[in-house]
Amino acid sequence: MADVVLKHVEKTYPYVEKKSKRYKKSLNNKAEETVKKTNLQITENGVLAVQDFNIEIKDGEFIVLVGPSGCGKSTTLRMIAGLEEITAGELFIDGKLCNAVEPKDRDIAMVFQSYALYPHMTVYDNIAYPLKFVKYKDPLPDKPDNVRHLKPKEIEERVLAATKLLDIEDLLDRKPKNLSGGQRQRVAIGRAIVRNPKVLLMDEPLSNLDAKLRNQMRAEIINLREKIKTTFIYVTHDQIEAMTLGDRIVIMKDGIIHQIDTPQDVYEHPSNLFVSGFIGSPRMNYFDADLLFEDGKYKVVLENGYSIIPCEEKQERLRNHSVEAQRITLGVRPEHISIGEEGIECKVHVSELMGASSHIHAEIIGDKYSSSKDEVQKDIIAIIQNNGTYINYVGKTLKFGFNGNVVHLFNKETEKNLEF
Amino acid sequence: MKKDKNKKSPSYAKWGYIFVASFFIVYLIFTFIPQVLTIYDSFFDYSDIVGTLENIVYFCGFKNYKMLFSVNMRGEIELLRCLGNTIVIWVIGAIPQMLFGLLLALIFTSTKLRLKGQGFFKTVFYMPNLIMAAAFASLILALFGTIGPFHTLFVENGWIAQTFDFISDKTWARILIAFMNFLMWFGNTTILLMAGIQGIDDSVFESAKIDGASSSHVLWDITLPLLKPISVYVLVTSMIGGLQMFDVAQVLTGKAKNNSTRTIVMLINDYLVNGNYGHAGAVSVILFIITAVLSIFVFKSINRKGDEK
Amino acid sequence: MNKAIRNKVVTDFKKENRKAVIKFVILKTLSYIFLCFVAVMCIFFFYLLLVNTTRANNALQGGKFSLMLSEFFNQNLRNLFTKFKTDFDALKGFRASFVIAFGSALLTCYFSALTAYGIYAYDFKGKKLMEVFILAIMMIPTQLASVGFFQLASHFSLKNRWWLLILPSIAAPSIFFYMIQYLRATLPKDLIESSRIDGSNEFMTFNRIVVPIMKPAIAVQMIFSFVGSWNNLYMPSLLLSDTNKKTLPVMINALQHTSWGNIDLGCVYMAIFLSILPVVIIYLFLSKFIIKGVTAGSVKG
Repeated sequence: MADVVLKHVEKTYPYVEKKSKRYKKSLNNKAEETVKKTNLQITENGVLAVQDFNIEIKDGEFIVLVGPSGCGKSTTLRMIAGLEEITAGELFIDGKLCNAVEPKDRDIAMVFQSYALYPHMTVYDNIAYPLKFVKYKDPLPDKPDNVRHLKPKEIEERVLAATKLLDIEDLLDRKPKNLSGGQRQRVAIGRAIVRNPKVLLMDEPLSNLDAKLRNQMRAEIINLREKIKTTFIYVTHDQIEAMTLGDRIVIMKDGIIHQIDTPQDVYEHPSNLFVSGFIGSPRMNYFDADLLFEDGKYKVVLENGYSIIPCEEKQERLRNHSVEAQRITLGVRPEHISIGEEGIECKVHVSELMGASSHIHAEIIGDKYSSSKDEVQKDIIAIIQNNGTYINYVGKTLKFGFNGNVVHLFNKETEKNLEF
Repeated sequence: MKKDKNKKSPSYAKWGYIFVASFFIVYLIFTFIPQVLTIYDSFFDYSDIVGTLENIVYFCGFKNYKMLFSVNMRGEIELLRCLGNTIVIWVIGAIPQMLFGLLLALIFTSTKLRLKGQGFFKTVFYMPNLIMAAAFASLILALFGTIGPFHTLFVENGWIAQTFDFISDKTWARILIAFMNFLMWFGNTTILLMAGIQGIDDSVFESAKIDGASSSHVLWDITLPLLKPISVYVLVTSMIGGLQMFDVAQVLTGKAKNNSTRTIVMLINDYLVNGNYGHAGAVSVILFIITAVLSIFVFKSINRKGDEK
Repeated sequence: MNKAIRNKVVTDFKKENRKAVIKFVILKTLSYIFLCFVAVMCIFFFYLLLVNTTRANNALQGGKFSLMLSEFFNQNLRNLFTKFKTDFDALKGFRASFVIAFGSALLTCYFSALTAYGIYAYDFKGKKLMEVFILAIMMIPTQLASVGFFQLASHFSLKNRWWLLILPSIAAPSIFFYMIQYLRATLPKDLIESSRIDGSNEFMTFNRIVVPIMKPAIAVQMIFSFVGSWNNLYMPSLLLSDTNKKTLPVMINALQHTSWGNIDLGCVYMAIFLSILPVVIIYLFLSKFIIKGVTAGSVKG
């Protein structure tokens, strides 16, 4: 187990100067394309893939890096592993500066998205391979610094222990091509843990599995974590995995960290619009609104006149930050919308049966609403518990209401949460 | 009872036959019938009419084959001699071909050494493959023959005797032919092995890096074992090509009657030129059998590779 | 945890890595030296060839070794086409080689594409069997047919006919294989259907639509076929005995049968040089394309 610290870590992909003019043009075009797609910054040196990454990961913590594709999470993981050069900043593993240390000397292990099993070796040989290089301090009377490799018996013990933990003992003689996806993944994990690494890195390990298997493996990873006390750094694009697995989540976009917090904190107190929209399914609802300060209290008024007074906790935070009256984006999660007597009148046009609950998509009756920057959402989504009976609300007019405990207030330009 | 044609959709099947017809007709006339004739010839005795104008041949069963495997005036079996020559020359050339091909493929695909000018080098290395073998051999003949510059140079420096002839020397002739084969084919081998290396998933190499393998371990434990299938393919197809060795050996040593460089196809050629279709046919049939066995082996190994994916 | 280390200033990584960097530089230098060595090995003999085409016959007969270009290139060239004609008729050889090589390449590419299209686009009885058959005969060495072929040619007095060397290339199993792989990867069958609906007959569809789509494959195979046929010695040497009809390789082979003491060596080198020149020129313009084509068809996966 070890702690991992990153300070002001940056990764820039440099422009490659080529003689032929044709190539230069196409390379610039590529860079421009990348920028258009992902809003990554271009400096004179090249494309900035990861910007000012700072984190202190404690011993034994399970950290999840999560974000949309191209946000730099895999790049960061690879920098920690030593597969990518760190352009600027410092990486400390277990207190030692590791920027220039070879991957094999960092005492880390990695599970790849494609598992990266050695196709020509059996499962046993795959898992035993890293143990070939382990050096053991074995002080002899005349050689106190003696270092030796593991004996075959010791290797066998360790491999069997790892396979027993992962329930793949009967696969030892098979080659990767004869294994299912889930089995291959377990072998990959086995190969990673057999060395008792200080840090275990996982790069989207569940992406290649089907949904059912994914759920199963998620539980097994949690299980694994209980048995193996090591620091985990896990990369995924799936926010559900992030929420269920992580002690703390790091939410990234376009190379920048947007928030580092526990899953609960990220859910309840998202630091900006992006985080609020990324975490939680279905997505948060957004409204254009005005934040007013009347009679010593903050009040949020929607365009159709519906007004909410934020709860006391939020009032205090707003006061502490001396927030002024302004136009804001109001966010409310679908699960916090109650359907009843009071609220905004909406007409339901889609009803998705999820099983125990239904997701209702409705349009506000009256003035056409446009939520601030999001392209798609014109609907308000609410969740109704079916309680055994499914009612089809399509075409009906319901009243959607919410109270002051569950509102999130975001600055219209900076998109930051006004409470923090 | 007329069949209701309106019920059936138009069938284009007949066009299939029309399109492939050209291939099969030409194959039949120019390849298949000659092949049958070759096999047929191998059972007839043409040796009596060699050099004569007679046209009468008689069926002789396996006599030709027996003759080929019998000891001749010099006390050896000519067929086996030629087969031996062919294989020895091939081996002498194939060893550097595979070694250089592998080494160059590793250099070109190495991510650590990012060498520049790879395109230039690849172009230069592949070029000999396209050079007319007859021209190349003719060039070597002119350069290394008794009136050639190399001969004069070596004699002047005292490295060889005046009477020494590279071309008729048993060992050196083979070395020269093998060297030419090597130069002509190592580029091709390099390109194929490069494709093999690039076919290995990058993350396998990265994983080995993290597991602690040094570059030499990566080479021996991972790269080479994974290259085995394609190396076998390259080696056996090289062998099949090697058995058919003709141009270089013929131009370099055809006149010299150097018995250490006579290949199987040169033997067939000699019989043909003399009109001895019987022996020529028999040797061709034997060559066919050997090649067929090797080809089946290649075919099977490719299919095994396909299963692995 | 060690706070002192955490507050450490960024160290000079290069100092720690100096050993690794030196090893790296040595390895890189050795690699470049090796590559240059191999390149020289490849070019050396052809450079010598070039040098010797520029030297006079007397100098060459003396057997002297030289690495410097001399001035007799034009002289040797002229002599080749005038005095040396009886030993090596360059013009006739070029004509013969060109007609046969180009004719073979054209026919083999067109008809292999045609046959591949026939198997790919249509469903008919025996189609699978035919395809397997063609793949199987790829494994038969050409020498098996050569005996019978030669015998028939002699019997029907058809030696010295160029078309006898060109026509058989219509049936080329390895080129067929390459074409059908290419079709499978690039031609959607809907295209054929829609062309039929548009009123095109089957041949028009093939010639106007499929062939243009197959241009890259055809281009690569044209080059390989042309070069292969240009360089071929075996069959032409058996069939072509008339000096008016011989191809360049056959003429070069015949050169060694004459005593070189009495020959204009400058012309000999010039003859060899000119024989390989066309292919070298084609290659220099298209090398990247050719090298790409090597792996496209031959390696699976």
